[in-house]
Amino acid sequence: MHMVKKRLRTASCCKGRWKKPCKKKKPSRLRRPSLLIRFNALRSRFLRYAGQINRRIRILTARISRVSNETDQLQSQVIRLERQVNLLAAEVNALVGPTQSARALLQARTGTTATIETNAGSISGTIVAVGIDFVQILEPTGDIVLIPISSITAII
Amino acid sequence: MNFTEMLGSFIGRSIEAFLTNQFVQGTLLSVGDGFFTLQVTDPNYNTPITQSTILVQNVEFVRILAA
Repeated sequence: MHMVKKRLRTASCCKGRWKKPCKKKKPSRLRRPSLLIRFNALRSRFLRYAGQINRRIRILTARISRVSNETDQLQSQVIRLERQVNLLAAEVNALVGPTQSARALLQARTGTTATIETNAGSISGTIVAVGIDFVQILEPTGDIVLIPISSITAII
Repeated sequence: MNFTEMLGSFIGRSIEAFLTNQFVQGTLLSVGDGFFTLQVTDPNYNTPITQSTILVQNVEFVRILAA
């Protein structure tokens, strides 16, 4: 049947010089990818990105755990150092506490006349200034006397 | 300001240093960390002029004579 049709077509072409009907070519256009192809492309991209993200998450998790360990160590060091500082402060207060009290007393009397007793004698005059560990007296004669607070036995 | 720093501002002045059982008079030459040096002028004319280094911890008080 197929051969018959073919002969009929070619026969008319030879006799009547009938040309084969030209098959018009359809204008070329981009074939849209099918839905399946698009889905697969998106899936592969998603898997690639998901892998990258998971890798980043693992790296960041490791960093966080490392930083957390270091933070814990630093915290324990800080607690230990705070205890040492408190101990040292208590020891210093025990040593300089009496001096600080005398210093506060002298500062309250700055500008007034006082007599300060020491083992080497007494000094009378105006309290001019009080330093960290000394007091400055101006005697009536104009002499300046510097007295270490630790040497003071009495303040009159 | 502490005692040593305050004393350092009187370098060159004539001072009297009172220790527990001792008295030293002279010109303040220098002040260090915990000590100071005086050029002692002994009233005894027979003895030469000497330098005396005094530890601050042993000082009862220091008098700076009026200029």
